[in-house]
Amino acid sequence: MANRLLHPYFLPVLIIWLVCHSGFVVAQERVDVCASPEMKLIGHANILEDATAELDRESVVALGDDGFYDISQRAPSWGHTSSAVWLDFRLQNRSDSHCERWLIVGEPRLENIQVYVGQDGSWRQERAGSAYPLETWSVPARQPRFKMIFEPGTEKRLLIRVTSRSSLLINPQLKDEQSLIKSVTDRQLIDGFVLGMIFLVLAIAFAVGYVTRFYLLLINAFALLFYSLVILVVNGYLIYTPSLLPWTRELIGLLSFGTASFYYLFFYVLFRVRRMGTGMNVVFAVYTSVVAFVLFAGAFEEPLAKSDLYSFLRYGGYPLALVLTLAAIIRGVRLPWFAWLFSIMMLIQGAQWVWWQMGDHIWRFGDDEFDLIAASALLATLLSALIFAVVRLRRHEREAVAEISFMQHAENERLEKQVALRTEQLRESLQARSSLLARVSHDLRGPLNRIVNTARQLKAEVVPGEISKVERIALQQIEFIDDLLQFSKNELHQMELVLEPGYLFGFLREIEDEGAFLASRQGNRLSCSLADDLPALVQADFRQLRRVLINLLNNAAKFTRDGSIVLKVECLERKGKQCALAFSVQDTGTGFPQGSEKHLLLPFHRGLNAKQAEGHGLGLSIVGDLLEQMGAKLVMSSQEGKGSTFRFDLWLNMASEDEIDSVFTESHLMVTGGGGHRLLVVDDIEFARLFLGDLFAGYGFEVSLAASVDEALSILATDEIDLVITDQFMPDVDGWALLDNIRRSSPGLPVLLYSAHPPKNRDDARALDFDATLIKPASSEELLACVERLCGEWPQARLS
Amino acid sequence: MHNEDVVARWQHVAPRNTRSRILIVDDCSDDVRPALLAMSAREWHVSVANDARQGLRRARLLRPDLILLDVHMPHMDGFTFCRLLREDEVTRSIPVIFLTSAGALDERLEGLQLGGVDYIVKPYEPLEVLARMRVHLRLRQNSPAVRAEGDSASETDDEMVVRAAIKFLSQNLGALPSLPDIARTVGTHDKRLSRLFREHMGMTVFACVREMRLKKSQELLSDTDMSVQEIAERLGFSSAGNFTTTFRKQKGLTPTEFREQINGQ
Repeated sequence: MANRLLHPYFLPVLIIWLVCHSGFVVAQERVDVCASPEMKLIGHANILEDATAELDRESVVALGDDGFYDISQRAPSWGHTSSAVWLDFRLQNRSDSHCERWLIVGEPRLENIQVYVGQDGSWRQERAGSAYPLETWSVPARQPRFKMIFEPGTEKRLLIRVTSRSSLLINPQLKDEQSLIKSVTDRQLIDGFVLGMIFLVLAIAFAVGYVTRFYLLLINAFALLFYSLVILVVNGYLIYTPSLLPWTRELIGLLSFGTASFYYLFFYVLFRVRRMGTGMNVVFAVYTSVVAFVLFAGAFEEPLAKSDLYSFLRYGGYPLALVLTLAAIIRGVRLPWFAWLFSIMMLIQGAQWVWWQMGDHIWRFGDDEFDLIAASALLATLLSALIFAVVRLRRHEREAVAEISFMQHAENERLEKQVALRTEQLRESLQARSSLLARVSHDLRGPLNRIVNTARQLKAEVVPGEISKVERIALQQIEFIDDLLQFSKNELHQMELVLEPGYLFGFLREIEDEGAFLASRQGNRLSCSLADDLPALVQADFRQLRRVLINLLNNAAKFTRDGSIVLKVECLERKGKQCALAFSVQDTGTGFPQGSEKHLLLPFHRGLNAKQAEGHGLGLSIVGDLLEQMGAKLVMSSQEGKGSTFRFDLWLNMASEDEIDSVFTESHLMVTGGGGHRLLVVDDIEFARLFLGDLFAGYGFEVSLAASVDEALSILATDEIDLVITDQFMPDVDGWALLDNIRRSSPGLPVLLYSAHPPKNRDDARALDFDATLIKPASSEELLACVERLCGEWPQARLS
Repeated sequence: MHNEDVVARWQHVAPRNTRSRILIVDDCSDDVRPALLAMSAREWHVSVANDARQGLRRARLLRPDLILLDVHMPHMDGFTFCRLLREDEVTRSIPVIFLTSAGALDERLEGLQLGGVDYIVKPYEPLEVLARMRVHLRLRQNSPAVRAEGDSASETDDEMVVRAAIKFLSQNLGALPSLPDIARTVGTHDKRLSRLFREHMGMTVFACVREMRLKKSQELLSDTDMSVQEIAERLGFSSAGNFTTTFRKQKGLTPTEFREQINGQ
């Protein structure tokens, strides 16, 4: 667009004008120059086109009128041309007064203007244009002009020779001093105003573009800058830098190239070509490359500069803008509002130009004075972009402010919620603590009172059972304290389960023992029902499982009086190495109302009917927590007044005896009284065998070890044995078979069953029974006591 | 001076290397009475200090073979006592068994980290404490530093066998030979070895092995970068899980927790 008003007119201006005014009779017409202060001469011209550009003034004069042709008969073929164009005028002053006139040949871009004024056979030559050094010009002014003085009644012949690589925008005029000054000042005023505005906007645009990093604005500003420079050069402003004058043509070419480059880049960004797909991008790239190359080369290569392609490409922005707008619509690419504004302006200007090309309108543009005004499209776009940038900046600012205030608001809300939550937590915690303190004094005193009472009884008379009672109460007290400590540290929630292999029956027997003691306090009876098919060894956190069961039993014992409590364990299901065990504790106590189950699981909450019972309400809450960690859930049911049932199902991994740490628990007994009794230990598990052997040997027994029943029998056949200690289940032949064999072969030889499983005879018909049974893991004290008892009996039995 | 009296008495009655000397530091004499009762059966010389500072002075003067140490005491607590003990060249290598009611995890950690060979929480089983004390006394007797101090001429044959067996065991924890093989190595047979251990150590051979494994594992956890798995393999535990369970059962915390605490400091 930059170049579009630069050159579009001059070529057709002349041609069409000449064609339109072909009716003139030009030859030898005398023009009365002093009749009006301002006069256009083109209508009075005779034209000679010198294709060689070699004719000088004399040869032209010598040609006479023959060489010239009447432009009414033939349109000149040049627009861009390398020919020299000669114009021939006959001028006279018909008035009787002296008159001075300034001759203006055409636009300042004309490179080489020679003016010959002939009067009475003598010729005067003057010249101007960028082809000549400034000091040789007739008048060194931006608009080349030549002074002519007409005496009254005189006649002059005026020959003008013009050559130029630019468009031959020739429009010879004669003006008197006043109109010249007026036209020059008018023109300079407009130029100054427009240029001043452009550079002001440019400065702002550069600043805003730089600050906001709005590249579209920067590119637009650069395009406008280059375009303005092109216009300045074209309009002869190089006169102020005379050294550059000879390079006018090249400068225009280079600046046009720069303009086009930024201009297309502007297009690229403005129409968001990047989003239009690969095809469109390729087309765009090829097209703009060709344009840039042609414009660049055109600055130096004359043949190219004169080609039609060059002329077309200088206005190549118009079709491109149109195509890109359509492409954007088709591809559905969203464009900013000023892109639409821009394309509409381009459309209007393009249409205007086409309109001007047709018909007389071209007349108005004989003077190319719209060059600078033509920059208005770019300027308007730039202004739009500028406004857009500012608006965008403001919007971003507003958004940022809104976002900040939103974040502040959110943060405030979060803090408020946090505070509310913490306050609530604190309140709950304080409530829990205060109720804890209230109960602790009561609960910790209770068992101590009982200890004191028991101790007093002891003082009176020593009852063996009472001592263990004191011990148990104290241990129970310690457990109470542990519960409280653990709760106060909140350890229950982060406790890690420690799974270890262990004997299930031994463990449950211990629980039963403890539970029976707990139950006996209020005259309750505990019965324990352990299913036969329970696995002998399991992986479990026995410590925590014990806490769960003891808590449940304790709970049952507290709320039951003179009733019965049943601990029931059964195996629900086996899956590979896992089995599901169902534990339940059933009592015939007070029970609890329906619907209060959840309530009971909260710390320090107790049933409404539990006021007088000891405890601090932590029991069930701890049970709930622990079971949750073990992946089980406490299920409770109750009939108020008739009792309640607490039950949970637990999946446990089964274990093998090899993984066990020890088959007995060490009691550190110091007595050594084996007395040389001979024992036979039969167990298929090597380490169990070795450990038992190690233990008994340590107490002075003679120990033989057998890994199987067969081995045991062969030892029995050869050695004297006082006691057989056997495992129950062994591969191939089991402990029962061994017992049967011994009963038959050596009746009276005592056999002790030491097994992980309670005795389970396969064949009930046979009335076989072991002399004694111990469940693994027994304490070494129990084992030794049992062994010694059996050994003590045996010799007598053998003797009898 | 009271202290000098004690020293004089000890030097008079108990020449070095014949009898083990035990120092008990606890402000509550009722707490240690069961242990004292149990110890009275042994030919040990036991000194009780009711105050940490007094205990420290005695430790320097008497150079006991083992110290039973409480944690919560007036003026100076057991941990400080232990630190000061480690500062002194003379008392540095004395094994310390904590015997305390301070059973919280961080307290256990601190105790073990300060070089306590064992950490027993009250209420305790006196005979168990005794058994553990004997293990550590034996192990100490086998350590080069103590061996160098005196001759073992007054040792009975039985004691020599036990000591040799313990030495052999401590060198073969990873792949323990069978009981008869062990007995043969120290010139006896397995039944007698079990009996000797019962008499002199108050436990079975296998239980003693377990104690030694645990002690060694504590050293490996604090002094090396070996993983729990590697330590379990090296010390002959049946598995890393078994190691963890056993360690936790006795020390009150897992090997990993112990290692983390050591590294955290």
